[in-house]
Amino acid sequence: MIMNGDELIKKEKEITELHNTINALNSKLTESESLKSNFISNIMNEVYNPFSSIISMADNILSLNENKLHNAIPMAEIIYREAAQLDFHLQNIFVAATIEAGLEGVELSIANLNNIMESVVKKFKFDINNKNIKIVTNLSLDLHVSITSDAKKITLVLLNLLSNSIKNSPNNGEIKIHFELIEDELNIAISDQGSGISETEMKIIFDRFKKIDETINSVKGGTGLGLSVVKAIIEILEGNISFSKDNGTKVILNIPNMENNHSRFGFDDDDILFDQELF
Amino acid sequence: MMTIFFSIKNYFKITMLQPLEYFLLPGALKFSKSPMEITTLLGSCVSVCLWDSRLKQGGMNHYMMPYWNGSGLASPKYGNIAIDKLIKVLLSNGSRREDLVAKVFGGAALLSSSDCVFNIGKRNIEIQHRMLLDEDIDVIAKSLGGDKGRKLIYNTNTGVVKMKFVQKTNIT
Repeated sequence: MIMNGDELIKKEKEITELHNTINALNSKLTESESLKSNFISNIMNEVYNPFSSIISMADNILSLNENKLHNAIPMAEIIYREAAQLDFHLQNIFVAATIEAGLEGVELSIANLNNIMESVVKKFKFDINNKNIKIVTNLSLDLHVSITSDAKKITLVLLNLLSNSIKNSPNNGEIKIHFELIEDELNIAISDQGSGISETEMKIIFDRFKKIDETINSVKGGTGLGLSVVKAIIEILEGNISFSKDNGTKVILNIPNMENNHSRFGFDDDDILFDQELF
Repeated sequence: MMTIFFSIKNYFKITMLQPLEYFLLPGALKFSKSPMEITTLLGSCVSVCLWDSRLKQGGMNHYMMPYWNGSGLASPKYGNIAIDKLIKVLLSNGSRREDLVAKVFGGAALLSSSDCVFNIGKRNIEIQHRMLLDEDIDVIAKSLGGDKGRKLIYNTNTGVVKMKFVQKTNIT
């Protein structure tokens, strides 16, 4: 095949572009592998530390004298806090593994956001109290929001987002969580008063095992899996997630109501394969 | 009333040894040792139905994009991950590479979507072709490209795939 000058230049350009793409992909994958190694050391901290606290606190309670049993309450609080943290990290790890194995499906149910929020805030109540953070939400006894979706997945998404907001909030800060049901879509906006996310950080926040603050002195902890899990779950729920900088970080979630979407998850007996072909 | 109807329907299915039914979502993967009918809806996405003719077992993936670029989770939403995982699942369940055959579907260029600009469908088709060639797995049937969506029902026991073209509604 003989090519003219223009065609040759075009092909050369295509090859250069392809070469650049492969190089970029290669460095991204190399980085991903090294992050995977970091993940092991992160996870050791995140799993071992709570376990050590739980064991030593339980041991202390067991050795309390009968007349000092009231001292067990603060220790039980520590056990609850550490166990809740451990549960949260393990949920993220297991869900990430199931999604990566392609085994994560959608379990449709009526997700009551009032109940979900109550359970999510309860998980972090000690961190919220420690930093004296005020959680402001428009949900109330008068405003109940529910949606047909996967309640367990929405809970994990909110756990991750609230955990990030608490970590990044200053002491005495405020976290606003606003729920709105517009037609067939639930919109959730979570805003905190932290330092926000820069443009550069925005590009890497969904990368697995990647933490924005990876300095050795970081006290924020975490596995670096949270936002990649959140994004994957939101995609499974056919929704959207976006971030913006607004006196801190503002996360906006759009989750569609799947009530009228049953046919996508089930089998319609009336659906005769009228022009079916066999392969 | 509906519950009773479904109970009766399920009773007959069990007693008549009907294969189980499973709806495969985009980005997921399903393997079954026992007879199962896996259904999925494809637009620009591609599904590889891998079948072991000796052990009569199979699996199906449903990927949306050709390559994982290192961002987010390494899920079977991406062709290179989905095909690799599907082959590994069958091999780890006793299949031998030489007994595996593939049937591939999807990769439509659906109008009025961003697919046309990036030609996702075409790239999804390319990745399965290259990977299955590299893995030395024969493709014994295919229905790829075009401008219509597809509905598939894959029987993991017989390896038979029923397919019909569907108009684009909300399929990926």
